[in-house]
Amino acid sequence: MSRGRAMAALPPPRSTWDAINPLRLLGELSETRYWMYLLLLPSALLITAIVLFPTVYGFQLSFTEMRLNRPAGNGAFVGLKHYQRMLADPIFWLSLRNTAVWVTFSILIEFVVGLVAALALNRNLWGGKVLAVLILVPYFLPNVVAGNMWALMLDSRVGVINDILVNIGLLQEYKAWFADPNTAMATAIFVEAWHSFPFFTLLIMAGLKGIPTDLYKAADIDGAGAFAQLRLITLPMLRTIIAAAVILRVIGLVNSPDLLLILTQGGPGRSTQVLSLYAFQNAYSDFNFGYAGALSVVMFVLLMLFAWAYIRLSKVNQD
Amino acid sequence: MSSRTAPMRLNLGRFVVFATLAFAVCFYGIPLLWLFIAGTRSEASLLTDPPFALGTWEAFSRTWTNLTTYNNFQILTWAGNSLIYSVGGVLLSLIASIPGGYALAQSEFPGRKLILTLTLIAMITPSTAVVLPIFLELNLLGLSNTYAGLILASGFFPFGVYLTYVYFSTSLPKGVMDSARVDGANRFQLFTRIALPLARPIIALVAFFSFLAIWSNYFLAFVLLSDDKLYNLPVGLTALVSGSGALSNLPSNDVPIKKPEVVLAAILVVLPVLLIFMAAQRFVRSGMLSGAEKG
Repeated sequence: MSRGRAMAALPPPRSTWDAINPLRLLGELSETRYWMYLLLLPSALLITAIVLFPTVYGFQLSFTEMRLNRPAGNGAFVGLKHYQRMLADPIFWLSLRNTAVWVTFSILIEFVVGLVAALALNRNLWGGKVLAVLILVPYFLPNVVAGNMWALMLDSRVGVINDILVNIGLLQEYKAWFADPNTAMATAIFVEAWHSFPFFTLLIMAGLKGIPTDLYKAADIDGAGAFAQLRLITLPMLRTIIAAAVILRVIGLVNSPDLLLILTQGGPGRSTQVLSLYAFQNAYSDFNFGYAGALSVVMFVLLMLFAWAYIRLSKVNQD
Repeated sequence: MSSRTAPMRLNLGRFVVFATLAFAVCFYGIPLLWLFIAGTRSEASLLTDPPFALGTWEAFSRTWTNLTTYNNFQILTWAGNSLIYSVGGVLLSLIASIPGGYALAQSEFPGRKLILTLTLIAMITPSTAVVLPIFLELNLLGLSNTYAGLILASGFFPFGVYLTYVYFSTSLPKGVMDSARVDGANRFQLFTRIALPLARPIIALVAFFSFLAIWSNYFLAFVLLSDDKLYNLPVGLTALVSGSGALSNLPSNDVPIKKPEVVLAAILVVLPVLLIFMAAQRFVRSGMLSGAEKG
């Protein structure tokens, strides 16, 4: 019906060009009820191709046999075989534990440093604007660069960090930080925190702008000190945004083996082996896509619980 | 009481600010400074001289020649590839994000809520869960190890749809739209003549974020590309490091890629990011301002 109205409003085509003019055709199409769907078509196609289909396919993979190096029997349904193997797989449990350590300590450091930096930058003192830009620069450093740069700086022969630590007397001799199972994880967490804490700074600074200054004035009158104000006003008011930032960062950390792949490849031994790295190695060293798929599904389910919390807390879905 | 706490707060504030300043200088300044200086030094200088000794022009140009000519100008091929992936991916993400966000913001229609929810889920979908299926999917489509394959896989930026949606829901001038409608403009013209010109800041922002993500993309490219002629810079840099043993301190070999070459390659990866970040800093802010004045 709306289509008929639109056709009447437009002049009839005068020439061949007019009949095939894409702008005129799009204009006509825009008056139909399909217009909104046409606008959404590119993103819908892409979502289907690289989010929906792969997700469903990944679930299916986890119940099938799929070994690229042994094509016979590929695609056969094997039920819960991969999941049963996982329960009995000590490397899975070790990776799960390492993932928990990796995520918890990285987030803890990133949050504390990010919060302090945001509070300092929020004071609007001299140089704050420049600093606010500078502090974001490392966050935009590609993982590969941040990783290799730190690998060089912590190098056991030319590492500048070793040089500084020896010179100020904290260290007797140059140390190969990533070669020692006792320090590899801690060092990797340090590099990760260095790289990503500006994410917290950015979000917390945005959150701080939304806190009414009256609250602080009232607290001043009541005689509350800086720490009391932080504990009783700032942190409670930032609760939603901190929760959202933590959850987003957890997803990022669980997901991306980039930094560990560059720094340690899970070693030495399995001291920095995390789940995402283990899934990746199963697919690319053992060509066992079925088991890798099952590991991915476990991570997916764990993370979707976080995602659910994210949507609940940030209330972005309630417009 | 407040007269006693006020100066204390000020001091604490100052202390925090200076502590952060010192922290930022130590933590960010030193590594970045070291990285850029190390690119000008020779391998021998890195081993023996103090950490912040400046290199020489000769050392730098020799490093540059070693790096660029290695394996038949391989690194320049990778830089070109990175450019192709980034431009293609940014265009694809704009084509998907801008009309999609506009449609979601502009009207109520059946399925709108579902699509918004799907976008949010896509934003937080764990990439490791989909990387392996995407790899198999591209294999099936015959797109593994092609430019199109990686562009397709990295070109969707759900955050862009969401940003555009938020932008258009608050900044579309309903009055102007309605009067253009009365003047006989069709809805396609509303989109191209009113919404798109207004959307310049958000187009810049989406392009900026997706460029950064795609240019730095390591894991996806690493998984999807096995042909070293198709590597992007991050994957190439890693291949260079592991292939030459430059960082492993093994007995020296005759590959001309040593630590200075690796540092220079890293600078090559990061320089466009830094330049675009600095440029976009001003552009995005001024774009936001002009948008606000008009709206």
